[in-house]
Amino acid sequence: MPEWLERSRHAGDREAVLAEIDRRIKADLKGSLLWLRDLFFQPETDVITRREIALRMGRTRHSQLFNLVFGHFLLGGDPERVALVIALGEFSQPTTVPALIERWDDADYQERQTILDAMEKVPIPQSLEFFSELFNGERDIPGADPTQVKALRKQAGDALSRHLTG
Amino acid sequence: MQQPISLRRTLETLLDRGLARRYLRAVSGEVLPARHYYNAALRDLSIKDTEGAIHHLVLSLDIEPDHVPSLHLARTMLFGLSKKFHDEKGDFYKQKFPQLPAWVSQLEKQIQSVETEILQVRNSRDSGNALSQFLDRLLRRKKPSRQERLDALIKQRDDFKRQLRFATKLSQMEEYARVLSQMLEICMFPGRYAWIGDNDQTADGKEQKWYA
Repeated sequence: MPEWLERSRHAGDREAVLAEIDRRIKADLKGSLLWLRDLFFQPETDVITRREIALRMGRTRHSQLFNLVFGHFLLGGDPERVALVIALGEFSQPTTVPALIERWDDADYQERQTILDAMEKVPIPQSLEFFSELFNGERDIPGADPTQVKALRKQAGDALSRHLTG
Repeated sequence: MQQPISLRRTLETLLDRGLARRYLRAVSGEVLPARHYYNAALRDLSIKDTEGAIHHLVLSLDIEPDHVPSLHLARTMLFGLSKKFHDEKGDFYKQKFPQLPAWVSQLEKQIQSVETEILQVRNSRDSGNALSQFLDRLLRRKKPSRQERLDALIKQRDDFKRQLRFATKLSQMEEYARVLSQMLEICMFPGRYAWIGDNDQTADGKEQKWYA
């Protein structure tokens, strides 16, 4: 196990680490939970690798993993928040939407983009209302420059449009 | 001063009867606040029921024409639909078929005609009479077999069906966008529709107020 913890720190070993994660999730998800947790929460894990792990963790829809990730998100703990938001988006749990909205004001541009992506995967009325408010300039985007504001509003409009049938 | 008019009544006048029936359904029971219908519109959207969402937005804006969340939602939906229409190359098809519903009914007729033909071929015999077979051989004419004709017709029918799905989708998007833009225009510029009626009451019997 320490071998994989070590390898997850190096971008060069990313493919091998992710392949091992896929293999273990497929073979024995329950037995891999602690190992996955360690890889994800270890501060030295490569940033991109961590985001890929977040996607894989979310796709398992495992309640223990969800509670762990959501707990860290609420407490504002490490690791980097974008990875936590990516994982929450993949879990697609309606309970995360109010927390994601609350986080909006303090988030940076990249995290905001990820929050919108995550909320799009949870199409509850609250998410759609948020998209509408953001698109129409009813929501503040503190600290964002005009280009970012424009891009985020467009992203919100696009996110809502994907829920329209035709 | 803005001319007060009813959104429902105005839409009833402006839309075709069929459309009006779909978007202006009757409401049973007591009339609720605009927020209630706005929430219902959001719920409809969350299950991808755009028609239901428009219906609830009409109710919300009929009661409270200056209900900002409803106006904003209608605006966002209009933006989304226009974008989707553009992404699906709707403008190109609109030039080719200015009336999208007419294209839909044309395709429906074509499918029906091909299906009749398929039925005829299925009920026919594989070979013609002996004389025509002899002539075909003599002139070295290659006539498609019954199965070949059937396969070609089935392929043609599937192609029409595929086109029909696409045309219906475009026509539907265009219709939603038309109703939404009409709603927004009535709410923003009620004066333009003052000619429609002089009885200005909302569904709950109160005096109609307008978004300025």
